[in-house]
Amino acid sequence: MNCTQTRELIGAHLDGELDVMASLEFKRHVECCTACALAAERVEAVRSAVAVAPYYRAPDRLGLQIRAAMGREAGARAGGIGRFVRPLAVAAALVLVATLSWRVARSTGPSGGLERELVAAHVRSLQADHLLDVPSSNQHTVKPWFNGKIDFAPDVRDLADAGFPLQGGRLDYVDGHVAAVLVYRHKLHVINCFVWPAEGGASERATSVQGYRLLRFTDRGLMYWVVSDASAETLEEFGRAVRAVSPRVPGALP
Amino acid sequence: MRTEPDISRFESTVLVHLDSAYNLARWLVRSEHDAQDVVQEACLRALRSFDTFRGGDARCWLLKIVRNTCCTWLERNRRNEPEPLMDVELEQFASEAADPHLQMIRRVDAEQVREAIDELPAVFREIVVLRDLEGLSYKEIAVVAAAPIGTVMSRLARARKQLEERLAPRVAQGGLT
Repeated sequence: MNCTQTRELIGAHLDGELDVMASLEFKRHVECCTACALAAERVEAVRSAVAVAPYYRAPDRLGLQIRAAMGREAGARAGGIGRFVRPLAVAAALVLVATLSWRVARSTGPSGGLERELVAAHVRSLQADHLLDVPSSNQHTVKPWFNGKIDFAPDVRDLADAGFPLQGGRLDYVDGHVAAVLVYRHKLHVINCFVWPAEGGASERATSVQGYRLLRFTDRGLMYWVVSDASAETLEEFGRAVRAVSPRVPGALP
Repeated sequence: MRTEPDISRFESTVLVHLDSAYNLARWLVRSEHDAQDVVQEACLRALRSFDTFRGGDARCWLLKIVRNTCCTWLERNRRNEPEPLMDVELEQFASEAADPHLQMIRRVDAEQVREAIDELPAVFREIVVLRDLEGLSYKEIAVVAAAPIGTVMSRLARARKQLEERLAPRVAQGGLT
């Protein structure tokens, strides 16, 4: 191996890309050629310098956004909404939403507006940069983040064991309340769990608005509204998981 | 029609490489916000053509799609990015460069390295990122960058040469007087 050949193989040698024979020949040459040895050292210096360059990890919310977008796409496909049917489907959906909204408004009185507000907040949260103020799967990071921002203490727990990994939290404003929102994920579905202090007990109720499902319940003096595009069964399971892990602390919030 | 198990298989084989995808895009488009858009688009493209994925290395497969999405993005935003991701004729560097400033290169910090890599032409930047940050083999880089291995090797050598020249004076300016 001469100097020209050796110089060409410096990178491949350092990157471990040479086969055993070529590697041996390379080493043999470098041992007795100081010029090539120096050249190799220079390339190695650049290699180690580059190793300290930042490695950009994907932000947590990017994974959530992609999963949400995939879920929307999968939903559209599963529904068999083709390119040409889409305008029709949208028109039909609008009529349906209008009818539904009217019926919801009629059947539930003023709270129907709240449900629409929650769905709107859920949809808004799925748009870029709205989902999480504190992106973390660590409940010990998310819980203290709420301190001083709200006058109640939501029970922040990672429910990964039950199939609902915690994604983080944020503050939102619904129905004239500042709400703590705990964000969970179930497969491709984002679950927004709105929490604020309950004013009197409210019975558990599941509804659906604009294709989104909502579940309401109270637990330990807090009102929970869960919104997602996951199935009603999934939401019920989620509700059970939230209540199951809540420790019954004596003297907790009334 | 896509079924639920298909998506969970996509998550476990492809989406687990999200960090790699984002790192490459972030270095290529050089903006946090645009990198997120590019990666999201690339992932949806990947999902749509997941049927064509015939096993093998899912990371390379995803990186290739990310790279192509970046290409499209760079084309569209050519004003900010004068060098598209295609092979360009560059003058051959003299094999014997000036003083290598070996000691200086050994003292650079992360910010100086980041700047130096950012200033590389995109065609070199991607090879350095794939090799030295992502740890891909030459063969894998050849797949991702759709270039013969010989081209990968020569681009990598030239990229490192340029980095050496950029890093040495940077340290000299850095005030080690």
